[in-house]
Amino acid sequence: MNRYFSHITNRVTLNIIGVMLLVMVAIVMHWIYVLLPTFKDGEQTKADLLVTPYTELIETAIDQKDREKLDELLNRLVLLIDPKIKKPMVLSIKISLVNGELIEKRNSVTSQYAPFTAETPLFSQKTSELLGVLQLEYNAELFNSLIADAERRLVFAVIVFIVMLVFVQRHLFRLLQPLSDLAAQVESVDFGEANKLSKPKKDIAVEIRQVWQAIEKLFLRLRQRDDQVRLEHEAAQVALAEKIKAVAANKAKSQFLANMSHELRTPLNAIIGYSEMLIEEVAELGEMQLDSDLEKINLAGKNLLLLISAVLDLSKIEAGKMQLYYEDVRVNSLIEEIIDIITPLAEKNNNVISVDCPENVKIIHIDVMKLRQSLLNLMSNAVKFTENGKIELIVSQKTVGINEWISFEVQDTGIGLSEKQLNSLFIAFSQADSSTTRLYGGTGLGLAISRSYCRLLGGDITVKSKKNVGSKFTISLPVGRPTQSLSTQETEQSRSLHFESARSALVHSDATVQSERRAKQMIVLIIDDDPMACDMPSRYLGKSGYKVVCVQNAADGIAKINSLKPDVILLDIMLPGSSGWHVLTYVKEHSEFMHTPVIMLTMVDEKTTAYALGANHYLMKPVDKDQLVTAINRCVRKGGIKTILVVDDDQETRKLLSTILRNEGYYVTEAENGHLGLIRVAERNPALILLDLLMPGMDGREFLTQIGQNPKWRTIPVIVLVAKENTQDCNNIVNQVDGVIQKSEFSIGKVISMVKSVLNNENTQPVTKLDDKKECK
Amino acid sequence: MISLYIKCLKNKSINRFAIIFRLLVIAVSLGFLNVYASESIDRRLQISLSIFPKIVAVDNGLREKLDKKNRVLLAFISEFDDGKARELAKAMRSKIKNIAGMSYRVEPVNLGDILAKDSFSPTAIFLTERLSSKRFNTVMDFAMRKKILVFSPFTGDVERGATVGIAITSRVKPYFNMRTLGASSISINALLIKMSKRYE
Repeated sequence: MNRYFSHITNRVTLNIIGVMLLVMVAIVMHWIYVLLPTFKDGEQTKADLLVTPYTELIETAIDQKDREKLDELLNRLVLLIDPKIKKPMVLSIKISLVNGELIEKRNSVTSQYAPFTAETPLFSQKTSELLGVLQLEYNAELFNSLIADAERRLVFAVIVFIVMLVFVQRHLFRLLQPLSDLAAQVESVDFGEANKLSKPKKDIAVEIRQVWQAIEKLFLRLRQRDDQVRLEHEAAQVALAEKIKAVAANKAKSQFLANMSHELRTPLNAIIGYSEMLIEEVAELGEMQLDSDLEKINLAGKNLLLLISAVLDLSKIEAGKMQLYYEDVRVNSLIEEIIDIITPLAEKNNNVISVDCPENVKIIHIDVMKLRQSLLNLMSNAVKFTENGKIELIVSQKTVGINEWISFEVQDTGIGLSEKQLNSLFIAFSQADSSTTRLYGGTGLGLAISRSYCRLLGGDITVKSKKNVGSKFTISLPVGRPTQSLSTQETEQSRSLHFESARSALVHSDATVQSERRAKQMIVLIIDDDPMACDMPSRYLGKSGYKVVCVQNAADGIAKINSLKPDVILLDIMLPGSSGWHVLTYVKEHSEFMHTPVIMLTMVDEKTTAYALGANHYLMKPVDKDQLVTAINRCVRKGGIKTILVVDDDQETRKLLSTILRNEGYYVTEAENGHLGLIRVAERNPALILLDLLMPGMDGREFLTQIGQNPKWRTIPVIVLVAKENTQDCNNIVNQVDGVIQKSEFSIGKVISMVKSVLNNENTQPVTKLDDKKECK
Repeated sequence: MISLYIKCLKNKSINRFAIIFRLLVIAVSLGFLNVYASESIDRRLQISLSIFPKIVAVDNGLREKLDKKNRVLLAFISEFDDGKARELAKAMRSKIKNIAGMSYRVEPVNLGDILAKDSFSPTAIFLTERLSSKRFNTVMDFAMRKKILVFSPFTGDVERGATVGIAITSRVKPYFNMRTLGASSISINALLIKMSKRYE
């Protein structure tokens, strides 16, 4: 049934039938209850009205007993003809008088229908008495003919209705048939090019034609979309294939770079290491004519190492494998360190460096290696492309929203950059132009790497430049809050107190370890399968007073750890048999060795894993001598390496003394005048101070006075460095110091022996007296 | 209602012209209704004047209800408008010479007089104006006691107890209240009753 009603044709047909039935019922009811009674009343009224005018005449005739007149009146009534049916209106008239007499007139015409009857009392016109009753039979043929006519019309209407219904149904069917055809076609279409909708017939309804056309357009759009999807799919397939190729190529590239870096670094390790050793040997032997050649070999090796490192860094950045190591960094120290490195380069081009680092910029939390490298790159570029100019480094820190940002502006007055050059500035392996490379050298990787680093750190590098005027590079970086709770104010106010207590602890610690060191030589255990990796460190660590033991696999390494209990372990990762991770885990799992410093020395970049497992340092091969010694010293210092402060305004002297002392295993801090010297003493209480007397600002004499006034500092032994022409000055202060070295008689051996002598004395007796060495010659 | 309208007129917030316009409309409508009603009543009274004597004539006990001079006494009763009763009586006299061959007298009578004089015994009563229910019942009590018929030309009076009235369709027919007829012990010619409209 529901299916039947779901067809529009059937639904419309039934609706029409329903409506028509209701209409017909209404008509019939109206006929029965309204029209038919009205017709009847009308006919009855006609009969009554027909009698009324004759009543008085008949009453008069009866009153007068005039029978002829009465007959005439009755005959007149009987003869009346209905104009519509052309038949007599009155069938019969009957007068019943009260005296029982009956007067009747009947028409000859008969009717098959029951007549209407009209009755009226007859009163005497004279006495108003009741004479009788007049009865009139009114012909009902007209009325019945009207009824019959109405019935015929009703039947005709029903027939017409049925015919119309059939017509409507057929018309509807014809009207809707195209929709069914369309549905059938839509179901059969599979959107192929050849399979389209057929053209609609010409005589279909406009609305259906519109639907047809709309579906045709929809199909067209669907086909177009299919085509587009197909094309996109094909493009995606191609892109996927290309991506797979690219991934494979990238993997091959990474593998190639890893292999090449390993293969290149291994010989470089030897080149750099042995050239450094040869430089020292040549210096000791006095064969200075070979020194410059060896320096060139060493420099070339280091440059090549830098290039390889840069390429590897770039490769790691591109692969998204570059990791960040956040730590708290004292900005002043970092800037100082960078300026120290850059100053010689700047002087070479006769440039002036100025630094503006506000007091409020103190400690930031950042990956210092990345920041240092980026700053060094910008500064080295600035000094490289500027001659007889000025390089400014401006540091500022500000709050943007809830984040702290630090910016480093490096501004130079160098050759500058054109608009075109600016566009390709940060692209790897590209410099401003090829002539730049020829003139200034470089790989073109520095800025690309620096910018990548800064972006990794959440910031960026921007540049403004004008050709022949200069450039300004700005590093902007978000900085986290330092993990140490060192507020600037606290640092300033409690500096002396803070370092006083630190000094006490250090003095105590130094004393203890010094005695141990005298009793036992420090042992460095190197676990590396590469003999060269053992040979070179053995030589320069031996010179620094360490006893070096080498093993070439993990098992032997563990055995040596147990038997020798080394002070420091240098550990490679890639070892035959068990890996270096196994050794590291072993050391950190045993309480007996867990505090033994482990320095990873490897070509594998697994810094995160190493630190997670407890390594103290991570050095990538080839490592240079200073780097290694510093790392070892740092580790050992934790157990008692002494700090020596060198205060001298002459940078070369400072550097020379620092190198000598570092080679001997001391931790060296530097200051270029007395004022900075006092700051360094406050920062790190030294075991010994090497002091120049003649310095700008606070000189050595005033420095000594200041040291002597501080009860915590006055026991620090001091060796003064004096020029020959200042013998008088020397004599004036000789009683206040623990040793005097004439700069004219300066030699490595003399410095070392005096330092060791003073430090040994310091540990055996108070350094308040002069010994035989304390003389000004 | 009127006081309400006066209150509304005093209230300045209500549109006075609208209220006055409504009052005018109501007054005009009432006036038209009154005119139409009075015209309709006049027509019914004129028709009734010709039928009333015929009804009186078909009363089978007519001869027992004559006055002392053997005349038919027709009482035209009014309550307020005695002039109307007199006017109708005069019209009756000019139209009708006798009733059932007997002389007759038409007497316009005020309702108060009937109540005061219980000795008054007319042959039939004709109501010349529409009476209130109380007065109508008083008249009907009087008529039933005297066993005389009460003719009322006014619509609805037969239904509330008048002995006879008129029913106007395509023709004018006598309209009898059969209960009152029975209660009044009045006998009417059966032939006429058969052809008349009856209220059972």
